[in-house]
Amino acid sequence: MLKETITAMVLLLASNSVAAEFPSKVSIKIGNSMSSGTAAIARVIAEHLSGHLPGNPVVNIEAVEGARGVQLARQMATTEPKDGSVVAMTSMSVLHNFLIDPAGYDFSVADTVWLGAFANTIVYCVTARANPAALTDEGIIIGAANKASDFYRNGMMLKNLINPSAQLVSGFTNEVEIMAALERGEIQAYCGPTRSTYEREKRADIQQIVAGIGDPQALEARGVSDLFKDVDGLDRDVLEFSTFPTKWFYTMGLPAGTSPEIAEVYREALRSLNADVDFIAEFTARVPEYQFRPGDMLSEAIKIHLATDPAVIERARQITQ
Amino acid sequence: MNFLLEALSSTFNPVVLAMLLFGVVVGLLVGALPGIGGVFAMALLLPLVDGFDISAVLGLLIGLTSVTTTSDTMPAVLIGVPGSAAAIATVEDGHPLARQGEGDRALGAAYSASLLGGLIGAFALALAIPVLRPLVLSLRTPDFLAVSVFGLLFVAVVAGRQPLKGLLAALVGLLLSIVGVDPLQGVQRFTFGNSYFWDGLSFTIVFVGLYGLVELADLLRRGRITETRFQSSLPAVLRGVRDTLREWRLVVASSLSGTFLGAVPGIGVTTIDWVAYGIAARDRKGGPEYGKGNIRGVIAPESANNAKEGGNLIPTLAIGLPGSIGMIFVLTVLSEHGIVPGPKMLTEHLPLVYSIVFFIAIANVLGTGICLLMTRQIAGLAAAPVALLVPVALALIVLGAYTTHLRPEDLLLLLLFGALGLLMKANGWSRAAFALGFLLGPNIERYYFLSAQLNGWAFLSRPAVIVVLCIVAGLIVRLALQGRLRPGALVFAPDTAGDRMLLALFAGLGALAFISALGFSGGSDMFPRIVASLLALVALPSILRAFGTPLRVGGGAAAVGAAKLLGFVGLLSGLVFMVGHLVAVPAFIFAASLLLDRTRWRAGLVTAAMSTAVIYLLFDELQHVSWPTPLITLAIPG
Repeated sequence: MLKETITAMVLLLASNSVAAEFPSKVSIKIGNSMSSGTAAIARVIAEHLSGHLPGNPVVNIEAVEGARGVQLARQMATTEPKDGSVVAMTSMSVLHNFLIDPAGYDFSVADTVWLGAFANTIVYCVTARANPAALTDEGIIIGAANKASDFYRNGMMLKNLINPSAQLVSGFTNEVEIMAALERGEIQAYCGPTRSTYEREKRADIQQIVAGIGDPQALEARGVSDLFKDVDGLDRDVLEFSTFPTKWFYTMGLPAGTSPEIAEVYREALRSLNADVDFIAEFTARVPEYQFRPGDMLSEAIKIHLATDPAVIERARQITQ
Repeated sequence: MNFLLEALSSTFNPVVLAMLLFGVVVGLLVGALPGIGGVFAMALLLPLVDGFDISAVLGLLIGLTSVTTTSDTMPAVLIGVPGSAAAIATVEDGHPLARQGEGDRALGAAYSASLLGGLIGAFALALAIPVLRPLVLSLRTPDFLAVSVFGLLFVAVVAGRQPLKGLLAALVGLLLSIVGVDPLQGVQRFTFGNSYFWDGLSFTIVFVGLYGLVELADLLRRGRITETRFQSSLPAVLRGVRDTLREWRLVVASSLSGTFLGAVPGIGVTTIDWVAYGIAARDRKGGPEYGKGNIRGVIAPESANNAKEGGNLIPTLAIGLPGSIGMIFVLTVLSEHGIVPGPKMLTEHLPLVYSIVFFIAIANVLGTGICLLMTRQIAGLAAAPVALLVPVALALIVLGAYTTHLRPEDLLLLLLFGALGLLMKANGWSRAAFALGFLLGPNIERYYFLSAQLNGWAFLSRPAVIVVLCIVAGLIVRLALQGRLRPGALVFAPDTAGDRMLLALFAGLGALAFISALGFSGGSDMFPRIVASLLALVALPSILRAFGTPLRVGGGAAAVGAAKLLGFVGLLSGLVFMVGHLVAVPAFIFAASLLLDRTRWRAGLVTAAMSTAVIYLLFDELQHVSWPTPLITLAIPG
């Protein structure tokens, strides 16, 4: 405890000196296009972040598209400046895919200085309202994109934890196609929409939520080792069927090698957005589950992968050691 | 009928009409500029209209999205560079017409076909409203597979007199479409461990290389756009309009196919265009050969790609599934105003649905009107000096390609596909066949696996699948009866060095792909192995035939033009890396224009300055492109 307090105080003092030399321009780099939903969220953050950073720097957004976020991840791991002038907002998929299949990565995503995530959201499984199904139904068909996608990972969690007889059908390109197949009755469920997209797109008249992954209230109380122990005790007809945190939306990170002092300045600025009423009003208009939580994304990823592939955990542990 | 009156009153509100007109003007501008998409413009404008009435915002969006496929024809016809992916098919015959001095006729035909296509699409949407939902929901994944395979059959049509070369080109297109993360297993295929290839080969780079660079090389060789003296005239434009009216059956058929395919989420505009082109090319009676300036080759894709807007709106409004990326913005606006797409659109919001129909119709009329009024001025571009036009077009192409991923591989691929396109064109290999394979390959593989997972072999019993299978069987029987499937008929004599290079390259690609595919797991190897085997098998007899075929020499002038152009691309790319685009572009444009015509140095200077300003505005100010640091700044200490 004493050691932690001293470390925090040292970091605080150091971050004060960092504040004096903080860059006058900051770029929030996103792995999607400037016309994406991520860019819209980044604009809201950029508008408000300046007031919480030392010297109120000008904050811009830059798009670094390509390879599903890997292009940005590579730049963060290799070339981006480490002076605090660049911060990335990305999806945790990059980290997940790095853990699952590192082929093609000539750098380590784990080296990025992860700051935390903006939306600690729950991912839901839905079925068609016109053709309702229970997730425990024998042979239920769950739609998903390819095996490296979030949809597949979520579906696999459902299959591993609740219904081994479920059939996971991969090959859809995106959520639109999966939703269309659900409407047509070709699949009976899919796991992937967040509460916010579900509500924003007003799909409640044609779909119904049948399960949620990652209830934030439950997850904090449980450790990794408890996860499998509790599976049998889950009420399978109610929302949550697992306790995995999904802090993977609008995840923030700094280039590899950035000093802990600069990281602390950012964490403090991002944390202070939690008390910025104007910011929260604008943010929650787009993503209702707002709360910035500082966190180590690598350990979050390890927890998520427990349900999909224990071999991944071993790899993640090797990286952290 | 009250809903119609309500729709009319809301449509003809002055604010709504002004927004619609603004959307049309922006749509025409972004369509005409290669590399700037309508989606980008929508994303840029949407936050600015926050707070406006829903009809006004929808008027803006529909106005914008309805006409980008009208104005993208201008660069496609005049300089052979498609303004957007939707104009790739139009280049095939539109640009040859411009070269023959009939650019204004081609533009007249294109605009009028776009207008009629847009109106038919809107009309189809209006008619389809009561049956929208069951119509869209009645389709199944095997039906999409059938549509994609049906599209691929048009290779036989677009290949023209070189069916075997067409088949080989289509197979290479199919093979290259496999590059990237596979849709089923997430396995990386042909990515060589390089994350650049994970997203597959960019459509923009492939087609700008294959078409844009090829036409610019040709332009350099000829020294002028038109082969005859250019005379822009209203009668020529009207002749194009009359061509469209005379081909009304083709317009209706292409528009209906565009509307229908537009209603299927996942079928892109490029597929829609090529299917329409295939419909036109089935009729070989009269007119020049397709690919050499047949006006029907302009009319069909232009009708189809404007009609698809009505089609895109069908699933968007009926079940809340965006029919295209642009429709996501329409859905966003609807949901922000508390409107739920779906059955309620046909009851509570029927006036709004009919307003949307009117927006499409009015936008098409306005867009076409503006384009027709400007045609003489726009077609005047064809008289612009090549010494200025080519460097400016190259700067836009190179930067447009580079901003795809901002990696050196972008420019390397542009060069490779430019070289491939040059070789293919010079030796009579169908680029359209390649395009069909490249565009339809991913859909065919994905829908096949999805159909098999969801239905087992029962997917073969879907009516659409049976119809396509019968057509394929009919084609095979017909070819067999004509003696075109004899072993001797499945060979061509490669009598040019280009033919031999392409054959060797394609066969090599097939063999390499087959070996690489052996390492793919879980079914992701099936499609590449089939395509690679077919490619090697089809190419092999002609390769063997090459040994007994005398070599024909020629094409020196074309080779000089090609070398010059590829040299320019390499030079500009190098400059961009070294000194950054804002120094590289003006330096390149000025130097290249001097090199091509020393007498125009003043005009070269002005063009360089103006082009750089436009490029800065487009890429730096509007798109905030995050350019990599130029090498020269890394070399300067401190």
